[in-house]
Amino acid sequence: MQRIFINELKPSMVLADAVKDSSGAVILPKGTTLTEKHCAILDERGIKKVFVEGLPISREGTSFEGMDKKIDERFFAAGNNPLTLKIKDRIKELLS
Amino acid sequence: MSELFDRLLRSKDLPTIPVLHQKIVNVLKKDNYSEDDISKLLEKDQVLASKLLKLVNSPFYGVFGRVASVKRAAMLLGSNLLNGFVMSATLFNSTDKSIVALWDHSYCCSTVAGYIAKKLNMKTAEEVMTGALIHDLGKVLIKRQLPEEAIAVEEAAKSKRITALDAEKMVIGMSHDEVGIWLAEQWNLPKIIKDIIGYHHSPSLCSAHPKEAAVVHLADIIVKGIGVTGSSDLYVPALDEKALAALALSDDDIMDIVTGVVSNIESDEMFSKYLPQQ
Repeated sequence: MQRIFINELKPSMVLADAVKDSSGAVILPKGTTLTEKHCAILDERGIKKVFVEGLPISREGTSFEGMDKKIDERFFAAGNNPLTLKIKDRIKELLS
Repeated sequence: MSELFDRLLRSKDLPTIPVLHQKIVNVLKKDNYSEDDISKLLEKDQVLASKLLKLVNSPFYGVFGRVASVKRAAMLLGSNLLNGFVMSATLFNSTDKSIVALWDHSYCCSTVAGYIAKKLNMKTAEEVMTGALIHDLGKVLIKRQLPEEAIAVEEAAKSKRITALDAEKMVIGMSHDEVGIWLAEQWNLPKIIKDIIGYHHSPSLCSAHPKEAAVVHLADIIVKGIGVTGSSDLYVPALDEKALAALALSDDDIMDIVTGVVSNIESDEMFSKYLPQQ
């Protein structure tokens, strides 16, 4: 699973998570195989990034590289309670 | 140490509210103030007016279309939040880089805390947002009154990899939540706002407003985790599990909140710069 920008989307990619608007309403459900039309709708609705299956885009040499390490460092002093770790992992999934 | 407290809490040096801001606060105190009066005053301070427009145009507000009028922005915000907004503008009125960053962090916390409070259907959502806007009041006071010690706090936090809260206790002997609630007391702020400021790191210890303090606590952790840290305070503070349990959110609810927050920040012109760029 990878979170990629709308302009990186290609038809036939599969959504690994539902895309929701800012009020939480589902725009496209998880498992949708994208078409050109879907991509246009997402762009129109102001969506910036979505989760897709696999790791289609290389992040080498971009500001995403090393993001996991940065997030680990931010949480260094936050302790190890299970909810904190879940929040940390979710942020990693969203920002990497 | 008592010399430090004296310098920190010497009331004659406390930040004062500019005349224009005081006028706005006075008009807001009236039960039936006119929106025109308020917007005329707000428009006199262009920095304040543009910050207000940025705030209501944040995706967290979910306002349809773009708000371009100061009057409409003031109406959307409501008097309590507008009051907190004016107060925070006074507080963060500085060109100091670290204070500007703290303003970004505070604003981001406020929008996120409002987002969480609305999900929980809290009647006090407006107060929660107001409290979040000025939750780090104590940090601003420390930076203003004790600039050298504030640098020592930052250095200690960095070198020892500890939170600002722990570094303050070590260097000054008092942390920003304690300093903040003290200043809020001097300013006669409402109890709910004082409680949010004083307990945003330890909401389960708050007897009157534990839920409101817990929402700001959670917002602070998420916002810091994402990277809108506010100056050199790099480390996410420890979670108060007991307080979070009182909010009755499942872990899945919290993951949904984190996801919603990140996608809103991605389309927010104020905060998206804190995220990794394409």
